[in-house]
Amino acid sequence: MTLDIAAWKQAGNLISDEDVDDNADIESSKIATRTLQIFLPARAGRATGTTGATNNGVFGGVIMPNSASSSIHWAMRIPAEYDSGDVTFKICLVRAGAGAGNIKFTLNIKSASVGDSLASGASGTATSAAPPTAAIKEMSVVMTAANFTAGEIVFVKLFRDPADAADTLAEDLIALGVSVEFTGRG
Amino acid sequence: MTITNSSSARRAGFKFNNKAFKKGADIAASKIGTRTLTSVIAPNDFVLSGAGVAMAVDGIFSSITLPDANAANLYATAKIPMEYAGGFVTLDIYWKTTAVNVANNIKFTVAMASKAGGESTALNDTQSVTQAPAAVSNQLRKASIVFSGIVFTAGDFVGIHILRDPADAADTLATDAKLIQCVLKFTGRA
Repeated sequence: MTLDIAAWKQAGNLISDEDVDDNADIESSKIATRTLQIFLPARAGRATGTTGATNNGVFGGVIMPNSASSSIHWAMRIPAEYDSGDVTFKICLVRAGAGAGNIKFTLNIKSASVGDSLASGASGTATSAAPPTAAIKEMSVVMTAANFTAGEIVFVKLFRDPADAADTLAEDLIALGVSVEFTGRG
Repeated sequence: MTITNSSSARRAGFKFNNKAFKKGADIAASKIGTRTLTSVIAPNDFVLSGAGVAMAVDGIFSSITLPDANAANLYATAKIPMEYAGGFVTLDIYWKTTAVNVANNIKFTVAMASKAGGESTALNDTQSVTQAPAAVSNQLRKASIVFSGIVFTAGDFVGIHILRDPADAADTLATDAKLIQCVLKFTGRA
């Protein structure tokens, strides 16, 4: 009598039939996180004090003048893909001039659910040297994770006050928009 | 009695080793299959230039009037989403006419630039497309342009300049047109 044994060992963790469902969906919670973004075009916002929309050859934006303060307002939602962590608001701009000086922006945000007060929120500032003529500049304001919950409405206000002592660039700016970057799954 | 190991007996299928398999690990975004994703550019995202080029309301739609009397220039800024996985990017232009039984073609010329923060806003590429309107008035049309000559990167700023010039010999559409929406279409993982 001869007994053949297939003595072949599979290294690693064994997967049993109970572990595997060929037809099961992959839970979104099992997708690794990465940086995602939502872009708020300046033109799509509600502007006050700005002196019109303009283009920089190919790119469209809104003029935030040197003559007076101006602001742009948006409303967006924190998407379901938001996982956790701080949210970075990247202010994107170009300019037509070539002078030296610093730019200062103030960013105000309020994230709210139904029933929440809209009376107060968080704010941050960004100050940086002006970019070369016709080069895209990004200036970041980081808002802490405590301000955000997936699904909430977020009100965003971008403000420039040329009279602020820290804003020394004596030129109009062209705001292209705000890029909202967050850690998410999806 | 003889007991032998039959080394020739193999189990078909994949063999896992400890390095390859970690039960409970997150699935990297790079392992998600690619598919076509879209990014919408609404009419109010555009900066408008030209006489008679203005936002309009069509029933429940908002639109931009592209007059037959003179050139219309539209400028927008968008971003290449982080889900972008490489390859060409297509711009779909959704448009219509309100006139009935209109013949001939409209021509859209689109200049596009895809730039990272710090780069200049210089133009990358210009393409054009001509298309006849729908046979029925107010019926939506889609004109598509594939930008194969631009190197796009996830997170890039995209500048889009759309021109309708009725004086162009290829634009024979003798009526106003309405731009309803634009869509950037790309291959991505999400």
